Amino acid sequence: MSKILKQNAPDRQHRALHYDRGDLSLEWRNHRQAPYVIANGQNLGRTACLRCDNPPCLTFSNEELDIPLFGEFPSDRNDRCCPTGAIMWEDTPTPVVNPDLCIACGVCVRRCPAGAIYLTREMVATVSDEDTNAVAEEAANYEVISYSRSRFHFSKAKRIGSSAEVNDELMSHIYERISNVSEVLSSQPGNILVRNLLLVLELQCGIRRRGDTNIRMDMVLSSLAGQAGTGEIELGTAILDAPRNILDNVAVLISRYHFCKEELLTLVVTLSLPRKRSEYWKVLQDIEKIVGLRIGTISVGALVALVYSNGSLRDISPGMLYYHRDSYSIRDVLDSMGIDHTGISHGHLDVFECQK
Amino acid sequence: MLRIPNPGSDIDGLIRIFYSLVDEFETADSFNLDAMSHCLTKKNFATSSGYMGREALQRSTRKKRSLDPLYNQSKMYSELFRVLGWMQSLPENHLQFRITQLGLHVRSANVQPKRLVEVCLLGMAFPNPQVRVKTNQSIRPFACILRAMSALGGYISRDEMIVGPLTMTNDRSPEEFDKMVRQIKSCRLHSDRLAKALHEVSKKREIRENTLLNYTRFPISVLKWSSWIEATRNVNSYGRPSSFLMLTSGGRYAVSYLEKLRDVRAGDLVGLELCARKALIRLCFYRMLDDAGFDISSVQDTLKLDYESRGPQIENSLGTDARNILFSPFQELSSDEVFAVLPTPGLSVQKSVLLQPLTDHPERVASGRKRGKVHLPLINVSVSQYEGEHDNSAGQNLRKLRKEFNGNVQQIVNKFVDAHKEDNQSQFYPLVSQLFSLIDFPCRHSRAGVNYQRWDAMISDDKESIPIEIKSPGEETFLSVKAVRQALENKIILLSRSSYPTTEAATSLVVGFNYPNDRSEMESLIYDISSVYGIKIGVIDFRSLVTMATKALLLRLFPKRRKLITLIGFADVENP
Repeated sequence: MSKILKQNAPDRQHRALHYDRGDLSLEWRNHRQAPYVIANGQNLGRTACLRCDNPPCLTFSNEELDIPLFGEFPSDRNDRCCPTGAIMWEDTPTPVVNPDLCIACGVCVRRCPAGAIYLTREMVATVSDEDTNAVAEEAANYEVISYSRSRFHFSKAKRIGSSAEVNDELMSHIYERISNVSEVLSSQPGNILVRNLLLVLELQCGIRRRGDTNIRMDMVLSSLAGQAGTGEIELGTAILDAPRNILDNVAVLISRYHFCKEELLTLVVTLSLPRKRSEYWKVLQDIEKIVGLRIGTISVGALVALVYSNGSLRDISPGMLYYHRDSYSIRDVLDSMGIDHTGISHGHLDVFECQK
Repeated sequence: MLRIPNPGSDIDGLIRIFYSLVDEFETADSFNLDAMSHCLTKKNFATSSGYMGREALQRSTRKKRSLDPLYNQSKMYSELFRVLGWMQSLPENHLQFRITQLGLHVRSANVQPKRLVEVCLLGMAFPNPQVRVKTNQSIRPFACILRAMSALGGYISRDEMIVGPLTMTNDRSPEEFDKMVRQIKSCRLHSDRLAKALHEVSKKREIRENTLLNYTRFPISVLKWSSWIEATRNVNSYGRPSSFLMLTSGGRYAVSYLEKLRDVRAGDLVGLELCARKALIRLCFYRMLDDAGFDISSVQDTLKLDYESRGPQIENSLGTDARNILFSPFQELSSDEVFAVLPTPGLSVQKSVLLQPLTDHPERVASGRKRGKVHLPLINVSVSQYEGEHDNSAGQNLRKLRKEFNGNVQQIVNKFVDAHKEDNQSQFYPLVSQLFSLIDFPCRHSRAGVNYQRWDAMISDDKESIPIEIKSPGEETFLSVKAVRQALENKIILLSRSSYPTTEAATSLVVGFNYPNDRSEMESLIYDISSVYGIKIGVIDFRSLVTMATKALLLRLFPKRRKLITLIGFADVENP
């Protein structure tokens, strides 16, 4: 009696594309519904959940959690996409989202290869779960191509438009949900939120394992262009600690692991940008002046806006997100990425710039 | 009170660590703790002294294994995984292990991984032959906590958990269980009764109350992770809203699951004949897998035969149907007995991994790095440049002590240090400033609320002012890297804003009550900072500062100016 048995797997029927078309795009026209599948100008119909194997909306793969430039970094290998565990898939035909836990961060929306997750009017992520003209069950009466071929086509699909309307209302909702689901702001779930936002924005990121007091840096970064970096996550009130923690991280990376200062990305992720009068900005200037390090800062709200706008941090470079007393706003950077940021009013929740 | 092995509260992380061990050792006939440490290092689960990877393993290694952090960490993981039945010690050597068949199933559970873990948590029992915990308690801790919560209206507090279920001697005794429930309910009527009961447990077990509270961290983390409980503050017991843990619907389901099963312990099997024991082991093990959603159809024929042939014997001996038993063989029976019935497939002696510890970390001497403290010699100065600075209250107190101790420097220093061991910021910061002034480094502490004065004190000089980061004993008894970071920032700000004249060569000081027990992490960071930014950080503990001040006042011995101004690393003042 030494055979290793398997757990019973639920019987799940994949969905697949009707059409074997390789030139797909997903186009959001109405933010309260799933996007359309467009092929060479022809509207094939709305998308739907494919019921994936190893669903990307639920978990990251091992490869996605690897950080090539930091092979030894003891990163938290929690593979959950949703920082609050809101999206689950047990006995239902498709994954479902618990509205009490959803904070509308957009990670699952962005992760779905078929674009089948969208925000409802109540700003809860929802999985599109009906057969459509574009996507249906493999066993349906009308012909569909294989699930795996569908996944392949979707992986190449362009994403046109924003998957949600990025405006003050959405941002206020997200921040309220983050403070209500209080676990999010406690240590590791907050770090997981930031990590997952950066991962879907194509910036490889590893966060320190919970409870590991031997490693001081909150996160290490590795851009797809091969740029290494380090970061601090400060979603609470100790934002003034972040610059000196970055200095520590950089000293360790250079001295012990022989990275080059000029090529290191440095990033502080905060809930909202510190106020203009805060010592934080002055200290960043001091650091640039004396040791030549330009520490970037970005808010969680800005990351979420990028996620919904189909933006990317793949081309991030050192100093790109550095702004200080004389230049507080991230909008120039968003313009350079082609991201429409006009839906967020000036200074709203200190997401793109500080109010005062 | 029961102490469950607690290597950490991140349950998902612990499970991932176990997966790594399985991937490495699943076919090893045996592996030891050093092999585990190597594996954890390789898979990036191990860090030490601010380092990762092999460097961490080297820095952790000590001749005295009890002081080796990674070795101890592996030991704690091995304890936990043995108590869960996922690993077992070899019969012939308690510190050599193998992965069990249960452990392999935990690894293979890729559809609903949590379910088997939860079944194992409910199966956890003490005493346990796998871990040599000295206890007079016979208890299934998680099952007992859940049952107690159900009996107590669906909620329990942390302190009640200690006084109640975790202190039970025999959790299967209905009388003792009822007595425990009555006691807790009685405590809920009067707020001081629980505190008194907690104190009694502490006294009886000779364990400090803080330690008892720490013992609950792991069980609470596990119960939350399993979604059996959630935290709440809304229950009005003890005359006021307090923090409680409530049973969730999942927790209530777990309780009803437990109620359907007869709780059997290893001691109950004494009268059972060998073949019946073997049958029971199989029946119970596969029931666990079935409950966790595994497909057991391939072993149904064997189980049917076991039940038909040995079921009546088991029922006769244990008084219950053999299919309705809560008993986890890997968690309660000896290794050789279970292994004989449920061996781990594919084990090979050739794949054994028995490693020796790495040799102690060699002295690292690289350019610009020094090890150990930095000697601060004291020299005779007949005329002090700053005599006026010596007439401060610290100086006056030291003079009084000179009279009291007849000029004995060591006794004066001891007395002075002891008198300030509980100082808060408002006492300690001005004191430190005064002590520096006594050794001819005029110093002022920063006023509270002045944001641009980021440093806690400043030794002002025409050319080489030195910022000081101070940690009072009220803030931290032992200095840490946090102070080094702050000292670095102080220096950068000073250089940038030029509030006081300074140079890059002048140090930035850290002053605290005690040096850390292990200086290596702070020391490494200081030299990293020096090599990368060219900024010096010097560290002086309170005793050294008081020694210098005393000798300056009484013996006209002052620290060599240049040595202090350019101090890097931990200061070592000549002994009194």
